[in-house]
Amino acid sequence: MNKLLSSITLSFIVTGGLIAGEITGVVKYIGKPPKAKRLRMDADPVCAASHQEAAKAETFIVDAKGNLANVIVYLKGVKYSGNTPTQPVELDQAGCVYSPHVMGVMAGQPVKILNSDATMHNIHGLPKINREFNFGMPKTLKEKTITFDKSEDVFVVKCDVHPWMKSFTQVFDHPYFAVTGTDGKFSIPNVPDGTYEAIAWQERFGSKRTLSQQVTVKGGSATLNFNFERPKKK
Amino acid sequence: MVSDQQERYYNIFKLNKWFAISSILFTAFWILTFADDYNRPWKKYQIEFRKMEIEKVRNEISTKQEALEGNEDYQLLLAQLDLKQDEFNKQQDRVDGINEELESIRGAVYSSNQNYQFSKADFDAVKYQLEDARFKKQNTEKLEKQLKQLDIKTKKAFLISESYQLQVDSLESITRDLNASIKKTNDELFVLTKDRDLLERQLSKLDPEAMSLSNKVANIVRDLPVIDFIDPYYEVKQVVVNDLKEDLIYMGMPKVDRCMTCHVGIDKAGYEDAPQPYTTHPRLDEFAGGSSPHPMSEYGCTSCHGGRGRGTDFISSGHMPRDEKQKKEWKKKYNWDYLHYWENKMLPVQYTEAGCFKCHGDNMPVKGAPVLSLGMSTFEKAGCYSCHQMDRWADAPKPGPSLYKMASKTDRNWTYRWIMEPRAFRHNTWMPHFFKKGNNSSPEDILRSEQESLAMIEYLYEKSEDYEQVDKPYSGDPENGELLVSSYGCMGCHQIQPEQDPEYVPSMQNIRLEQGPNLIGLGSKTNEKWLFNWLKNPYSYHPGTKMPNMRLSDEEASDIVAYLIQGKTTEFDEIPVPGVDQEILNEITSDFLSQLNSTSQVAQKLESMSVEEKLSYSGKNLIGHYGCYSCHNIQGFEDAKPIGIALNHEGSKLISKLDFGFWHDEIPHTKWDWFYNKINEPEKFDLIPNEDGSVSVKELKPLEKSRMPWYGLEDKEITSLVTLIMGLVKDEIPPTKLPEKTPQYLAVTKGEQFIHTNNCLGCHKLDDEGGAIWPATADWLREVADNTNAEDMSLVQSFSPPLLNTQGRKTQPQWLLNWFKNVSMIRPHLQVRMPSFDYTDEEWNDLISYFQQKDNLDLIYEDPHNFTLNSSSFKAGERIAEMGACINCHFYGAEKPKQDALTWAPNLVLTKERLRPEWLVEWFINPQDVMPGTKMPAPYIPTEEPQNSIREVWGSDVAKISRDSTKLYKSLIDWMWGMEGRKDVSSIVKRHLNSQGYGFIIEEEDDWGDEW
Repeated sequence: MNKLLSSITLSFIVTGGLIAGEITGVVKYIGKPPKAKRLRMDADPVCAASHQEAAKAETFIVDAKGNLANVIVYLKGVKYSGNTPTQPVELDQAGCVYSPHVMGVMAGQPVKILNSDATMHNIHGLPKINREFNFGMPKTLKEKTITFDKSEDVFVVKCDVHPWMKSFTQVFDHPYFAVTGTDGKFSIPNVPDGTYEAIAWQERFGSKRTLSQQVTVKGGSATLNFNFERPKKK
Repeated sequence: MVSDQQERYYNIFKLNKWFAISSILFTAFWILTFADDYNRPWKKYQIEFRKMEIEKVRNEISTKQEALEGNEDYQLLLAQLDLKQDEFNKQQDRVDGINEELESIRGAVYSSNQNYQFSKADFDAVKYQLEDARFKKQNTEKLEKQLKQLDIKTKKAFLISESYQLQVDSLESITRDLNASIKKTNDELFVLTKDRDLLERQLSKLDPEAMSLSNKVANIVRDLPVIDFIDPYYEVKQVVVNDLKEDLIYMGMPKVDRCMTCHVGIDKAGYEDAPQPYTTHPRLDEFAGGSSPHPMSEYGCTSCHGGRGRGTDFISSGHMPRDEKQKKEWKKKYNWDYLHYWENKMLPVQYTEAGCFKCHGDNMPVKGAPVLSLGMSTFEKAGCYSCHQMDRWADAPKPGPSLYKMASKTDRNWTYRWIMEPRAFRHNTWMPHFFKKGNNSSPEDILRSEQESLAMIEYLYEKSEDYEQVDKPYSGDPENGELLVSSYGCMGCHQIQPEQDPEYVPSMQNIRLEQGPNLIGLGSKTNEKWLFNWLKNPYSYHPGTKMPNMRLSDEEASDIVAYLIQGKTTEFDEIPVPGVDQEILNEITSDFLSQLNSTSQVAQKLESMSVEEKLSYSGKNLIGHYGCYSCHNIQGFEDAKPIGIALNHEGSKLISKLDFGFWHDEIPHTKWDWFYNKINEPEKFDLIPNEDGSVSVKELKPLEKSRMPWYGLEDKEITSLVTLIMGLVKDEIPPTKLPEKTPQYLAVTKGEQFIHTNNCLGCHKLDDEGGAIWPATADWLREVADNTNAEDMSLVQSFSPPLLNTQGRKTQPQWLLNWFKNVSMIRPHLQVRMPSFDYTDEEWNDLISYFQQKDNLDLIYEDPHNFTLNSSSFKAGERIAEMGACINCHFYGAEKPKQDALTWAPNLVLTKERLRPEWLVEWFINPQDVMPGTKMPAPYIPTEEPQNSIREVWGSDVAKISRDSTKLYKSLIDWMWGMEGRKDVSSIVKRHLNSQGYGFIIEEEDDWGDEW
């Protein structure tokens, strides 16, 4: 019993952030990358006019060195009893493209949806566990805030009016997640010491081809790298 | 001595000895009797359950207590109460003083009041005397004077009494205020602690530790042997349901169920995870629970589950094991055996839902009873009701195709191969096997079967009528045909599945996809001409067919024919077709002839008949014998009666009426096991099991053999069918126990049956059921776009037939009827099309009123929507539509939407005649609530924006009503009702799609391939 109590106390101290560190790393793609498709936006002149060069699909953004962007990296099955940030996450509709293309948010954390375009967007989220939503944002409505109540695996948020507009959201019940930048780098701060299962998700690879790795945070830091590989033809 | 001399014929000493022995024995038996009576098997369950209950209540109390401790209001009130109590205590001296004072003046109060009362009485008396004197015209002077004096006296007495009373009131109010303030806090506390206090009261009755000493003693005494008849804690619990009768063959006895004597927790929440027999009913919201629609006190237990409700132990209550494994466990644990002389045994768990049918069989599906619903669906699909009369399906159409004009459709050779072994042609056909079964598979049997088939074919082809057909005008493009089949909606009712799917699981959804046949091997089965004519208008071939008219153009029909006719079944086509064997044919013919003729007449007739006559004569009789006409329309059998036994009360049949034949030792002696085996292997009881595991066939003449055909059903399907059959009981159910036959109930059940029989949910989704076509839509998207599009469920939904949620509230009934009878384009982006069904007006009306009643709408006539063109409201709506960019997706008459065809939505000109304004408001508030997954966003209305900015951005018409969402939505409706323009935009759509396509977002071709 005493042992149990002391381990509970210990875990409180741990999650309290006394011995917490940062997981950092890079996600790479190995193989010949697919070509990015140009988005044809002529259906809405406002959209087309907002791009000097034709916008390209963001389904697979990889640089010459193979650094892969828009990958969600997160720890699986972590218990977290701390606070939920009140600082909103922003999802902008700018140039008829979602920014960010992929994002993570905590359950209960506000999501501020912005419309920076001079056109009407509808924003249609297709979660399965949280409540589905779909509302219009005319050009005059510049922002609207929503929240997700429950954690949920990645789902699509899209615009039915502009079918090329598609983004991905995952809702977590803990803050240990990050999305890679165009340099493929990510960092998950304030992770208590311990061993975790880390998952990496990229939209082209989908839910069936997530990568998974064990990571141990000890003494305040850990490194974690993922390599997505080009799938072999059957 | 006299006594010694008394004559005795017995020895007193011996007598005493025997008396003593018998007394001791009697006492011993008496004690044993009580002990046996005291020691009941159910008691240990109640004792155990009491422990569980105590623990649960204790836990609940501590949870509530913890919650209270953490509740700031509670703590505040407690502190307040303390303060007030302190205050009260402090004031105690003052209160005491007040009380003393009150005591001291009490005498004075009383006497002053008395004085006043007496004086008033005197006054009243004199007043009467005075009035009397005046009436009698006597002298009144003295009396008047007296009255005046008394009046003064009374008033004085009243003032004194009143002043005392005021003094008392003011003293009392001081203590009253003190007490009231405490009571108020106590009341507030009570609201918070109510739940806990209730639990504590509950615990004080349950838990000896929480009892007062006297209750503790009583708790022990009440359950002591012998006196436990008075008011024991542990007792046989029962419900008596007077209007439900137990059928004891010649009499009905009120239902008495004692199940809850052991199943103590059945109607109590919180024991969901407790072991049996303590477990809470798994559907407490529906059954057993006091607030459920089927409370235990009104329905009992055995009315649904079967079994012997009066039983109070495991065996005498009629428990039945689910399988051999459980039977073994029970034998070991309870020394279980059949309750032989109780007919209505408890349904094993896999057949539990059978109990739902007798009250809810009108529904389709029976909600919450998936096994029973699958059973009903399978029963209907397999057409069991065609041979076995069943009132529930009395009006159901024949399940097989009409054979009136079959010669135009197929040929004798194909028909021969088909009859002999349908599954050799189509692996998942619902046409059952009559031949090559266990009781007719010997070489001689097969030779006879072959000749029987030839005879039936002779009759069918001889009687086949002409089918007036046109020639197929085009050769057709099979590739386009394939695309049309995958996109027009064929796949809501048909599959094209050449090989068996190893992962097939029977379900209502899969049966929907088998509404029509699996479209394989059509090149072997039929010809292009027939197929073309059939596709163009199925009703021309058979007016009663379920296949609707798809309104195909000649080109489209030709393309589809070209595609479907490619399917060939080469192996099947090579099955040899024998010639007529005169000898066997003679045997068959004489088998039938001899039913009506003498032996010599048979020989004579046989002699006079040609081969064709023999074939035709035998064929007709064989069709009658096997009951082919039950499922198919066949000439000459229009009035024939079904050949099977009626199943209306099959579940109530006595088990002694089921012939187990030679299988008594192999098949458990239960009705459900008999039914299961009968369906699984219909000829089972024609067979004899041998010791080595093989079987032999009983000595039977060909016409004596079991005719029931083999359907090749899977375990899940058979279990579901047995569930249905066990539900076909003859119980007399009082109307109070049945769902009330309101107009709504009648319309809804009728509609549910219609929708099921006609497979509306093969295409449409309704309240999350159906939409069996969706995977086919995804396949089409994969074909015309790519995998990413096919996996986008919102896209799949948008290209599938619309959801039917709220259909009754949504559409105007007259419009809906007109549209059903003359289907036109609504959703311009759809390829899939609503077919034209030639239902009668009555059927359409039933369907429409189903939708209306389902949505609690029973108005037939409604006010039209009133609006004024160019009014302020109209203009406000116009502005909202402009800001919301409805034109992005919707047609405004001939004006095309701005976006690609992928996003297109209905022509808004149609709205005013199509939709109900009330529904539109519901829809605008949140489309996702009405049609989950729809691409329609909730239109934005500026109810929360600052007034001045609304005026500036949205204009004054919107600003006027900007705080009232209902008015804003109404303005949008006004605007739509004012919209004029082209209704039929199909040609515009066609031109656009031909030149620009849908605009799917397709990933750039890469070398990744699709295989990932």
